[in-house]
Amino acid sequence: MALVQLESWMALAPTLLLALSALALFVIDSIDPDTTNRPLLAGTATVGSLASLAVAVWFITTGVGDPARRGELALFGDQLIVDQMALFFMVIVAVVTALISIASYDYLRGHVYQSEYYSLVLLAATGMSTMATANSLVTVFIALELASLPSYALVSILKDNRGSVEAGLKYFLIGALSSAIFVYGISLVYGATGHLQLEAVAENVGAEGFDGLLGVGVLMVIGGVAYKTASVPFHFWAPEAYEGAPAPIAAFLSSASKAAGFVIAFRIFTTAFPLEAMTEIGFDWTMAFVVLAIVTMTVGNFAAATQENVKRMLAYSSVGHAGYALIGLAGLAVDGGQIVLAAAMMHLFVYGFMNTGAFLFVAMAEYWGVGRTFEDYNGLSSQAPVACGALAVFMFSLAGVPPFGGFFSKYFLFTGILETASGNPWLLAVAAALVINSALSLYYYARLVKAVWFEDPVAGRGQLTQPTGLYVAVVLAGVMTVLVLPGFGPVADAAYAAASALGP
Amino acid sequence: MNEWIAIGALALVGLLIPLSMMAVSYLLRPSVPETSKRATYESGEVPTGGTRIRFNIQYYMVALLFLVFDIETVLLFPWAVVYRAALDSPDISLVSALGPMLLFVAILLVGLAWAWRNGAVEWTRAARRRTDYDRRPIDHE
Amino acid sequence: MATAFELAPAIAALPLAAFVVVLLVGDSMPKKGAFAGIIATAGSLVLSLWALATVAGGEVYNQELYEWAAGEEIAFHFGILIDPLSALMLVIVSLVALLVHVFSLGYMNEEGETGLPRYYAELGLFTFSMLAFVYADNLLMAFMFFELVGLCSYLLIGFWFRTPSASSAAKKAFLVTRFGDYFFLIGVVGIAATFGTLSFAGESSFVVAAEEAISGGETLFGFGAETWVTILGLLVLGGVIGKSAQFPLHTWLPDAMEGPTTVSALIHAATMVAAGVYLVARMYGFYALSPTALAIIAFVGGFTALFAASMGVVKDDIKQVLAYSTISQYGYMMLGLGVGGYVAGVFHLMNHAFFKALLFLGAGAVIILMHHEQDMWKMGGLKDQAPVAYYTFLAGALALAGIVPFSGFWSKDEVLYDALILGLEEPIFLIAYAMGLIAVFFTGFYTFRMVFLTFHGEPRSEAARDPHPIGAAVKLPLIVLGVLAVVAGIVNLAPIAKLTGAEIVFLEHWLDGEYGAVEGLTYHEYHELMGHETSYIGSETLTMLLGAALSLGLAFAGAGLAWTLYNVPEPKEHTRRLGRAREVLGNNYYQDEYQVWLARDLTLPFSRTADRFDQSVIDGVVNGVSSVSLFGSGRMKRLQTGVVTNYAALLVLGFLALLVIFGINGGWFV
Repeated sequence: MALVQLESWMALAPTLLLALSALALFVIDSIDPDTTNRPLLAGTATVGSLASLAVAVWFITTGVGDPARRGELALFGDQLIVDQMALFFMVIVAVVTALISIASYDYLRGHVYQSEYYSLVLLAATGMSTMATANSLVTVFIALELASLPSYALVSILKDNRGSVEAGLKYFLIGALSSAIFVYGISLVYGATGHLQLEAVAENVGAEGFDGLLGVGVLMVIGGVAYKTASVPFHFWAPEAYEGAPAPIAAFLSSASKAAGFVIAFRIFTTAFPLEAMTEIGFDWTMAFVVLAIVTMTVGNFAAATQENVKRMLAYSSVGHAGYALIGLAGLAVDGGQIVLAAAMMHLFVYGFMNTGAFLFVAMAEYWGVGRTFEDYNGLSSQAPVACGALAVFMFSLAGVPPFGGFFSKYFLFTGILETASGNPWLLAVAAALVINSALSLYYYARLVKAVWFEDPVAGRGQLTQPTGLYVAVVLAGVMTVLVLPGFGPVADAAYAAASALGP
Repeated sequence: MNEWIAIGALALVGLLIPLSMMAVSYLLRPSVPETSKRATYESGEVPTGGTRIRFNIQYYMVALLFLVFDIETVLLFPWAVVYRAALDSPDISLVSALGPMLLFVAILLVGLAWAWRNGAVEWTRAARRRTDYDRRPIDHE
Repeated sequence: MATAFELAPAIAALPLAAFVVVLLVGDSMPKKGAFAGIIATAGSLVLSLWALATVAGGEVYNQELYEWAAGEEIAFHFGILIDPLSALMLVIVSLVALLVHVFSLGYMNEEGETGLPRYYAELGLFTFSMLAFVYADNLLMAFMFFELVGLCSYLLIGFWFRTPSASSAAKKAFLVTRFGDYFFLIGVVGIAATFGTLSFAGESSFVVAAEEAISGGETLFGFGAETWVTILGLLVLGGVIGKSAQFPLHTWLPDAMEGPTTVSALIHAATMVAAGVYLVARMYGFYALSPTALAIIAFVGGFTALFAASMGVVKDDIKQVLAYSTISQYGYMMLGLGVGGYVAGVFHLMNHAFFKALLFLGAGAVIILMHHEQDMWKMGGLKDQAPVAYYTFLAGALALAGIVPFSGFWSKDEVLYDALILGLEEPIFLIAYAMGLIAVFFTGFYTFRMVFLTFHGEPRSEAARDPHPIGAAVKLPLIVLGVLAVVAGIVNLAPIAKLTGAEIVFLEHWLDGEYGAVEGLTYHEYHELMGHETSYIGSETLTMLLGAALSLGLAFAGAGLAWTLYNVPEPKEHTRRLGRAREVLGNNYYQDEYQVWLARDLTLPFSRTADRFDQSVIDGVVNGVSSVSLFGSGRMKRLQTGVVTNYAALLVLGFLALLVIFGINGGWFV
């Protein structure tokens, strides 16, 4: 019951708004190439992403994509689809982009490539947003590249910083390799099924008889997904890229980009490769995700445990969280498993706030120039209590300590997986790994809280300024991490609706 | 027997042919070592300098721009071919036939304008200001 | 117009409000918050009386108010149950609380104590908890407030926390009662797990469920239903024994006399200590199902009555005498309940609340008179100096000793009568009866020893010669309670009813639901559940007269012995003649010593061993896990070499590993 009947392509508005703001930034930069009008640039990016967010939320509330209300919208010959899951992830991407844009206002003080930075962020966001809607292997790939290419540039945007450039190059090389594997996998899938559109692929699984070929293709597609979500063994770029990149970009990549990677994973594997048919041809891909989930969370958390560098710790923790979200696919079954999938979506949603917030705190520390190790952070709370309070919220939420959102999503993951474990005993191992790794993660998250709140301040640290944009973004993320708790009902409903509409 | 054996055989043959050709030529040819034979082949020219030289980044810029418009042409071409036929069809309006392409070209134009304004087509230009970020090494652990 | 029951939550809420107000702004209030407490308790009293009147009008109230946790099989809620028993108890508690608040004006305020807002706030919190305990409609809520009164008791005993003995007594009271409460808690959990409900009354109560389980011959947790009910009943009884200071957990009560005397009167005589006995009465239907549990209650009660009375004989401190007397009297109540005398037990509970509060407040008055001297050997001759204190104290003493026609006689006699008639049928109970009977003699003796030493004879100290005057705030509660101690017996003059046939056993009718009661919570239904057979010597009347004569005779004998020994101008410490026995009694049968031994020489080494196990084995495992984790973490970090070609190689190798595993597993290469 909309006020106006919109054209169906208007359903892409959240994505288009991001693209438009990117173009607007290009126009601004064309008019004045050397502009350092930070309010204008950051403002354009923020307004664009907030508009995208508002439209996506509006769509969700008015029932766009809900099969029972206004229906899923398939566009351009089913190449793109706007359903509840797409909108859910559009929201995540838009939120993270908005937070990044706000925070970058201060972070980019004195930076040369202001407008390039924001337009690249928005282009990448456009790509991620498109990933959420992609419904064909070719659109998936194009969207993924649209998200990846600006990311490479963004990671190395501190051109005079060796770490940044090195990280960007490594990210690019691993990305190129992974993309090659991914696109090769797509070609094999195409060869085996004769289709690229996901539903059409699903109908033709096993029809042509190239079962082994299809298996290899699917495994390669898993590889591509694993790269985008920073899952083992395609995670090697993540610690380097996150550490070398400007902290807001690290936040952007580890939250939005990861979520986008998961949305394509969710869509491809629930739509294109039906479990039943795939099991018949000898590839139960949930097992692959069981292995990936366990290995990823273990590697991520264990490597994070003894890091001295805060940003690197967060980078590994983000690898670990990719492992948690992979449970969503590992827990799928021929009949059911949507609970786990929904829990994984919730986790990514909460993660969008808490992880972005944590990286933005690092951004603030970089802005202050206090240093990069845990020791350098000692006693920051005496000088910046609000931000450090938010940091404690992020850390405990990441660790999954009860009052915060991170607990609930992890709890739903855990209960969901136990519920579906009757069908697949291996899931018990996943559940055990989840518990063990969460326990371990509390160690290093708490270490940071301890450093910030309980250690004596580092001697000789100067007065800390209060960068408005960073503060606003950090506090906003902190508030949302807390508020997600009472607001969890709608989020859980949306995730559950999206997951069950997807249904295996 | 399965089809993978055929692939293996093909790979084997593919490997063997060049190797055997090299072996045969090694067996047949006379061996007269000479310095000019050991020099790098540069279309008959005498090579100068090392192989590891840096090209000006502007080569890439121009190449990239060329590529962009090349691909634009590739997309424009089939569109132009069907354009008239599409207009004649009653299902397709002028807006829906022309609009997307105009939008596409417009986006490219914005890109071109941006690239132009930012000096992508200028051969030389002043170095931009340096950032004041510290040169941080990266940990490898 | 709201009904009494709609306002019932306010009965407890008023003192809670007083607590909050006094806690926050008590320092700037007149009399440091005393008036807030007085107004609140007076309001509670009025509402309680109204509720009592409503119950008398035939209505009862059993309402669930707020459900705070719900599971699939059981829900926990707060609710209110007002039936004859709880209505009566509400009146007793709020009345005594009100009088103690008034008395505190004279006892605490005029003595210029510091920390008065704290005192009144804690009194308010106590009154709230006690009232809420009384009308709790389920066992868990009862347990919560049972714990809360325990906390208040701890706080108030330790009111003068700067005195080492007070804080140590507070700790002791807390720990000893908590020991009993552990069993209570397990019992609550057990009842909830067994029957899926914790309600006291109604169709879905655990009492009904237990009854059905027994009649259905069910097996619960591997036991016969009756055995299991007995086990659960005994677990709950653990809390009762702790709270009502029954043997062997009575040791905290004498020490609790370190608190202000008003607190002793309110908490450690009239109300909180009664909570244990009240709980037994509250879930009497449950105990009635288990003859074994009842017999244990009877014997614990009878033994405690005698045991504590014997220790009261040798005490020199007036409050100590009263403390042991309290323990002893609660023993009577337990004896009464244990032998099936539900009415007798509750009757004695009510009477005792009045006369023991009176005696404690009287002792408080004496302490004021004596400039805070509590040793009876330094008193004497106060009779003429403070007639109000003397005559009210005497009324309380006569009631305590069980002299006809004071209130204590009627109820104690009924308890003993119930024990006797059951004992005649089942001789084992004669032992319990005998213990109760002998205790009557001791009671008479120590009571009048106390009266004579305190008020008679010549003054034996400066303070006694020149007593501090007492004010109206002290006298008023004494007079009210004095009157009640004299006349309260008329609510259930069972012997006279039996002799004359007059219908004057009001309390029995009251508790039997003649005026209104919740289904299943009436005296005769309990009686049917128990199915006790009784028999008589000759006739019922003869048995009754014999029993009454016997107990009265013993009481007079005890009082008479005290008269001859101590009602002289210069009494001597005759207890010295007891020799070794005095030593044993004076040391309270070495109860504290063996309990300390249990704690220090038995539990402590055991705890040390457990601690060592925890430190070495458990912590060792935990530390081992963490060092393995950190070591593993170090390895994991090595994976990241920093060389991008390594990454590519590892990536491809990892992918190939997956390919080989799944390829072979899935048969892709065949």
